Order: sequence, then C-alpha cells, then structure tokens
Amino acid sequence: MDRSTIFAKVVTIVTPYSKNQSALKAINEQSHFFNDLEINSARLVDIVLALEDEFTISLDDELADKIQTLGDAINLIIERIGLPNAQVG
Amino acid sequence: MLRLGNDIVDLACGYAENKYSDKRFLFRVFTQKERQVIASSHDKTRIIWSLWSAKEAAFKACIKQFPDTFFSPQQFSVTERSLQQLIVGTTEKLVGTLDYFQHTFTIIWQWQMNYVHAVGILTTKTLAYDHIIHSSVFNINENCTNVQHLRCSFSSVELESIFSTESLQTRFYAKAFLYTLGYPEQIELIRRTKPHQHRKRLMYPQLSMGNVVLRNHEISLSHDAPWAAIAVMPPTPGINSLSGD
Repeated sequence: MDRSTIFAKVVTIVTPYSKNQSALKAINEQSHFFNDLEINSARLVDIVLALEDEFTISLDDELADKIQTLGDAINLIIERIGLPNAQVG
Repeated sequence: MLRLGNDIVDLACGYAENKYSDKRFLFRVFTQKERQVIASSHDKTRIIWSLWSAKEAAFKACIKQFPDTFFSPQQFSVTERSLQQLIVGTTEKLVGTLDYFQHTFTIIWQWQMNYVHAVGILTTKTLAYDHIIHSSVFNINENCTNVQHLRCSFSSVELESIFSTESLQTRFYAKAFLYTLGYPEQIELIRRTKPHQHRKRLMYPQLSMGNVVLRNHEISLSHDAPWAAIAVMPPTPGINSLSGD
C-alpha cells in the first residue's frame, strides 16, 4: 500500500464528517481537520475509530492527539502499519 | 490561579441524537461508571453530550495550565455525585465536578432544549462562580450579518486566526458580549501560535489590547452548528490581579 492509496482511503473516511464543501474539493495533506475541514473533536473520535478499522491499527489518545492534518494521519498510519519505503512527509 | 474552558454541543442535529447507539464511541470516550449512567438514563442524548461537553471544557481549561496535556476523554471523568445529579435531568443549570488525575474541575452546565453548554474551571480556590464567571450562548444564524461587514470588525491580528464563517460569527458575538461587560472597543480576541512538533499550533483564545495580552482575563469560546458560546472571567480581587502583562 503506498502513500497515495492511504491518502485516498483517509479522504473517503473523512469526507462524510466535513461540512465544508470547498475545503473538501481542495483537500490535500495539509488540510487541517479543525481549521479547514471544520471537523470538531467528537467527529474526530469517529474518524480515529474508522482509521483503526480501515488500517487494522491501534491509535491511542496520545497518538490521536497528534492528528491535526490529513498528513499527520497518514504519517501515523504509515508508522503504525510499518510500511518500509513509504515516504513520511 | 484560575483557568477557564467551555464547550457547547448542538443537541438537535442527527449526529448528537443518535450517538447513544454507537458502542465503540461510548467505550472510547466514557468511563465504565459514565457508561452505566448513560445506559440507565431516560435521556441518553442529554447525558452523553453533557458528559462530553464537561470533558472538553475541562480539557480546554487544563491545557492552559498544563500545555502538554493531550485529550484523553476517559481520563477526564465526571465524579459520582455529579453523575447522580445528571441522571435527575430536570434542571436547566447544574454545578458539578470532574476529576483529571489529581485535579478537580468545577463544571457549570446549562441546558436549553437544543443545546448543552459546559464551563470548566480549574482553580485552587472555592468560589461563588455565578458572580465572577460570565457566559452566554448565541444563535449565530439569527441576525445574519454580511461576512465582509463582520471581517471589518476585526484587526489583522485577529483575522490571522479566523478560518471559517462560523469562527468569525462566534468572535463577533463574543466581542459584543465583552462590550456589555464593560470591555472597551479596542479589545482584541486573538489566538497566538506556538511551536508544536516542528510546526505551529494555535493556542487558546486570549484577550489583548494595544499588543499586550491580558493574561489575567480568562476567556473561552466554543461553537457547534448554530450555537456560539463564550465564558469569561475578568480579573477579580482575591483571585487574580487587576493588571495585565
């Protein structure tokens, strides 16, 4: 699984939780969950749980707290699934 | 020392109304005792979001005093006595407590039909909060004002940390509320940034005037769907000094 595949999966998970259509259209790894996508902390819990399911990983609260942007989520996923050659941005 | 946080939750949206059936969410967020109270309640939505808003409010207060705090909802646990008071569920206002490790927070809950608002207070003193903490909730969809007009109400420093129309509206109503408390028109609502893990992270809202942050004026903002909420405590004799930075 490469980084772009992970990105696509994360976007699929995140999309239903954001009300900001213009931010979703321009979504990229720098997109900020709170500031850009307007996803509040309760919905972020749902997203973390969905990421755990999708990638079969565990993300405790301390790790989840590090997720500010989509890039953060992807880096964490890569770290947790132990991809050897995926670029960590 | 006194630190303030607040959180508002819209109870009328489908997301909030259906959350009691999301077992994974409940297990992730709530302690066993809290889940037992939720399960036994006749108004699970009210209980869930009352507990959640208390955790969020306490966390927002906590992170001001202990910046390395991360949000671990189960560690912010509403006390047994307050859980029992919440079960009764008939009041519009309740003062309770929440524990986070060795710290105890006072939580002031207020309910209306469509929202719950919690103010969390971290302090070493026993206080009559009603007299010193001012809070208000606004419906930002009422009195809709042109966004460009709203933006003119803020300085460039303030606009640096405003990312959405809802945030703009929240700050607009917050400043209007501050004026009713006697704050001057020159008051600014800012959010500075601080280094965090090789990038910058937005800090909590602060009051500023003439480029001076008013550290002894506690303020917290929250918004969810149509609701914006503010909690503020100006300097109070015997609690914090009257001077700023």
